[in-house]
Amino acid sequence: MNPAIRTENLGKHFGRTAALDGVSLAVPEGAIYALVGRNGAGKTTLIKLLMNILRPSAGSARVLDADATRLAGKGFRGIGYVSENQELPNWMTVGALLDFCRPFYPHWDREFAERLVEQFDLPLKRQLRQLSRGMRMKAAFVSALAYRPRLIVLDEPFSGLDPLVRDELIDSLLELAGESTIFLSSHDLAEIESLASHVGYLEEGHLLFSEEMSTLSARFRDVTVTLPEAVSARADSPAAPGIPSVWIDVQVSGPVIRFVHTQFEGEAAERQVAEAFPAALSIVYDPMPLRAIFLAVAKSQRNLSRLAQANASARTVKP
Amino acid sequence: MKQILHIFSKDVRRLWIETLLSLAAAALFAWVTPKSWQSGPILLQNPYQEIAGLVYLLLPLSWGLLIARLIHGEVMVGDRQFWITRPYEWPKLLAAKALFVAVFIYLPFLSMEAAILLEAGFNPLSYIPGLLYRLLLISLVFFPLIGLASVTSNLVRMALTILSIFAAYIIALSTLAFRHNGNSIGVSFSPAAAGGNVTVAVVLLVCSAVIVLQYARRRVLVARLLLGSAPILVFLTSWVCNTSLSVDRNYSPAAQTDASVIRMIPFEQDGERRAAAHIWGSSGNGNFSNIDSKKWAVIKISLRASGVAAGDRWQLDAFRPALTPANGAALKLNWQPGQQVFDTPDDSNALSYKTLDFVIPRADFERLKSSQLTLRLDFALTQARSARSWQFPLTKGDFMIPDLASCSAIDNREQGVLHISGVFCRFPLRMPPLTTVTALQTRGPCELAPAQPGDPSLPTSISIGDFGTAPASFGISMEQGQLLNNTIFGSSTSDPKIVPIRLCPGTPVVVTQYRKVRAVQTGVTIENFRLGD
Repeated sequence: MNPAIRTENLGKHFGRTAALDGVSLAVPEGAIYALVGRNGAGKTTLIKLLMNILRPSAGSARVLDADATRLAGKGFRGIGYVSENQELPNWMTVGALLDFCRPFYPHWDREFAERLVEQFDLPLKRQLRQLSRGMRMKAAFVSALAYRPRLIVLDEPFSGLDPLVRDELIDSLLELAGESTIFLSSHDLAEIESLASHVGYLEEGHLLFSEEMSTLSARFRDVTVTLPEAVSARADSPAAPGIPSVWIDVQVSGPVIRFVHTQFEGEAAERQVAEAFPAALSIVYDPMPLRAIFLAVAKSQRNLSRLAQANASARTVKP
Repeated sequence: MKQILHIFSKDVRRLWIETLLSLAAAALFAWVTPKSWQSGPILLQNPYQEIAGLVYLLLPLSWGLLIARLIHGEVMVGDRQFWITRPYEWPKLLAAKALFVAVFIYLPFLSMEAAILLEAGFNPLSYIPGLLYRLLLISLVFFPLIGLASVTSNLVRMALTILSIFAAYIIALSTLAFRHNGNSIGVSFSPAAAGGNVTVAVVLLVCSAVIVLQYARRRVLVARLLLGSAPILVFLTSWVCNTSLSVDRNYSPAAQTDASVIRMIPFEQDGERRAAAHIWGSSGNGNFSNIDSKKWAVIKISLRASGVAAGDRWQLDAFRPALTPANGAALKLNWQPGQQVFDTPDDSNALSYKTLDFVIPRADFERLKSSQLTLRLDFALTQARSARSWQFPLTKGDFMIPDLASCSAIDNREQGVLHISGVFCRFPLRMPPLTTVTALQTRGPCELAPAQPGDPSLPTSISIGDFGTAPASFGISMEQGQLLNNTIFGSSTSDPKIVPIRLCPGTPVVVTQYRKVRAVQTGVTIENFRLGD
């Protein structure tokens, strides 16, 4: 089965700024793919490239077996797109918006739409401009889900919404999980942990990883090593000699060393750590929640880029 | 088709206020325009004229507003619009917008024009080609507006862009006016003045390309650049069409032996007649009164025509001077506008010289003024011949000249005696082919018998129209013009020695319409010409 979304070396430059660089990912059909990353990491740019709102500077993207740069007209019948920044026709009432959208979609499910309207408690006769942000997002959701699209693309859909609205929207998405592929970007790591089957992490336009949630959880471990005596503080340097590159966010506190193992593959990884610390009094491996994984990765990336900048400055200064 | 109608009906629901405003403006214009036509006594104020003036402004504004709101309903600029990730098919979206413009702008415009024609006494069905051609011409307003709306994100930005374009246009005009351009001064920059159909085609094509590009691909930057190039293309078209290329194409050289072509006789070559000559034409700097005399020198040439056949009329459309000194470089100018008419048969008792004036750079004048020069003048002439004529007694009030105009005589009463101070006419969709109107003015009060041919009276004559072949001109409503004007001593005077000259009711009026016979180039060479003469 072809993936619902596939990108290869996708890049987007705005002048000299690379918003996205060499992004390759695949989203299997039926997956709930969460794209995470800090502000300005390139999440919205990637989504806009997938939706043919922007044109790529490099690479390619295929969405539902079609070249994303040719996505138009009928190609959107199978795609439901909602963005936090989307400009809706605010002069319309909720009812008019749904009535207007319906004829565009041959598979519009009137009953499902009515159920969503009821579930979201949407006032059909109110103009969109008179609604709160949360209500407008609900209306946008109904208009994007009512035709049971094969692919649902959501750009920061829950940003700034109260928890109740968020849960309602997530429930409506879960109702379509399985029959639709869902691709969403989000800041909120806690909520996507319960929702996503796949996850991708963007950092400064680069995709650091893209994989199934279960694999991700399995390969990250928070490792705590207790030694008989205190070690040098230099050991926490990311480039400290002797520390494998798969160990990140290394922290030293007296005789205790903590780091995140990013390629934890059971006994082999345990053996590797044990060999690195033969005098260790104890070594503890803790599974990590998604939030902790991302924080560790983000911190590690930041340290690496600072180090790279420092090295570059040093090279410049050296006669 | 379903999607087209679906989007169309959405736009109708959304824009009902703007649409009603636009339709009301069109209806008001159709109603008030005939009422604003000048008629009746001269001193009677016509209150409808001010209303018509206001509606004349309101109408294009309402169209602009409607077009902007329509196109911005599915705005093409930006990446946050709801509709761009919906199954809109661009040809259908564009068709829906086109349908809206056709139904709520073009159709009302057509109806408004037809209603005004009808009110003026013309059957609109007889003017269908003209009405359709006028729709094409009014697209010169609508297409750029649609194009602009498609490259702007909202009404305010569009309005600011229009204002900027007007400002740039005014600056360009003021910069180009009276700037030396090769060997000619002044550059015509109006689509009507130059380029004609080519300019219309350029504007419509560029705007269409912008609109299609935006709807098909939303390439805002490219579309903006393309739209920005339109004025440059129009300027280039006008320039190309205004230069000698246009004259050389449209005026065929006449053989020197062709006796049917009038002979232009410069004052310098007129021998003994010079003493009896009467020169009509500009005095002082004439057409160049605002010129900087430190940079430019005005040269005047007086000439008359010989060989004008009775009933013929020769228009000097353009002339091209070249001054060649015995030693040194020749000064060759481009075609200059002529604006003179020769319609008097050769008559030694009625020698009438007319003046052609042109400018040359002051530096060239200083270089050439002391030299013996050879002046070569090329002429572009149009020969016209009387084709139709109407004769009727001048009456007070409104009257029709069949197939030509709907007219109103403006009457005036002086010491209880009625006379006509002018005749204003409305012409269907365009000015008529070249038409001359002649009437005799009575010397003395109008209670005397009206002037008759042979009376000791003064003729008054006005020419109107041109030889354009287009069935309509650019604009809204009827073309208007003055056919007769009683101005010579027509105003009241308390000096009893001055006998007023009047256009009196009952005076025979002769309207002659000309047809173009041919356009020819001819020329004359003046040896031993001196600039100081």
